[in-house]
Amino acid sequence: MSAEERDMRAAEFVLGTLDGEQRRAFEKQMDHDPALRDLVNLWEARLVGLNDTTSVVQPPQRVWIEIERVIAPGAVDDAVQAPLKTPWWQSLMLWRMTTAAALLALLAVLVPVLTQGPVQGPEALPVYDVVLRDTQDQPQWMVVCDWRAREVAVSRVAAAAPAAGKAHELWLVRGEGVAPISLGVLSGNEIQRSLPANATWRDTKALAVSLEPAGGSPTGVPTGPVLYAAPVSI
Amino acid sequence: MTETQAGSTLEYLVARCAMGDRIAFADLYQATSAKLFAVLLRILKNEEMAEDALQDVFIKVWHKATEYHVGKGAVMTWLLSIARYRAIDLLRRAKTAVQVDAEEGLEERAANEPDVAELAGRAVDNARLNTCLDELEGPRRACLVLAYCEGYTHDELSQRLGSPVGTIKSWIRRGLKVLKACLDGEGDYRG
Repeated sequence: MSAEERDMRAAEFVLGTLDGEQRRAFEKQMDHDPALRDLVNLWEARLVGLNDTTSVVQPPQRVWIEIERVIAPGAVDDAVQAPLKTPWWQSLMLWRMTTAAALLALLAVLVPVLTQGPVQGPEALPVYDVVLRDTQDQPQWMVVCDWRAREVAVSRVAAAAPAAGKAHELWLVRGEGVAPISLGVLSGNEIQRSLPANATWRDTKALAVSLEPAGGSPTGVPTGPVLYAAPVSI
Repeated sequence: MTETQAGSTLEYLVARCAMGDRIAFADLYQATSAKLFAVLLRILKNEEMAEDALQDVFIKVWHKATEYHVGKGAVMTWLLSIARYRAIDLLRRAKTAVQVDAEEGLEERAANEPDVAELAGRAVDNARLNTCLDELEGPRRACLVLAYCEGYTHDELSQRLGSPVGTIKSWIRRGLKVLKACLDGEGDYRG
């Protein structure tokens, strides 16, 4: 297929004129042809303004209630009082907010440490620098995690102070199904903390900062959304 | 970036949805569902189907929020695309399943639509797209708008405009090429 033909097919897919079978075939093709998906995204951006000819219509309340019921069975109708579908710290989605670049940077730090020889038994513990980024991928906190001295040093890079009545709390995230360990509320620009006895570097998958009520999580596990995070192992 | 500023952007809400934040998801629904519902209604012409489709779209958004990235375009573009594709899939499926008599179905749909001339002249807010659409003659412009906004197939356009399918197809391709040259020549058309 010529480049022009590919582009026209992408345009017709976006326009919607392909028949059902052609659409399905095209979607399959897009799955393993990122360049084709890019063409589609470009056409989506070109044509999206055509939606301006459609006004807005408020959907009935029952649609939202049904959506809520599907994504969070047993949830109350008021989303504000509903619990999260699964706590973010149990979700692998957390790792996806962190970029490959962050991982590479981390490996650059971790690999020399972990491959240093000769290994001297349990004393060969890592010390690593972690940059916690926000959802826009901007660095907000620097954390030095020293597993030998069992200390954590946190420096504010750019993170804004939380709103009144709210706090930023730092967590060691230990993967799915295991509660994170709190390292306490972050206040000020330089924070030193000892690592709790139950924290081990092998179990620690990520560091994250969540938004909590003033004084920190009342339950011992994160109750608010994660604002900043970074993986610390793969 | 303060939290308030960040919270006001759709990008931020989607990023929070990706982390399982249901409050952000409710905000996203609040901010976008009326537009998406209107788009679905316009293609499906049936309230019940549009409600079901809207539900499917948001459930998909909840699960696919992790796959959104800025490279896919603006959040609203991403959402509108998911909604339109869902509606078009339902439309095509309904046709195959029920074997609707094309003409009858078309008449029914046409009865609820503005006429071609009115559609062809209808303006969009996006000034650049408007300028570029103005370069297309009536039926060519109508083909693109009817296909995009109403979910018409080549066959339906052929019946509606009384021109052979081959003509419709070439009008559409020609129209798409003119639009692309015009929009891309104008620089950033995403604004």
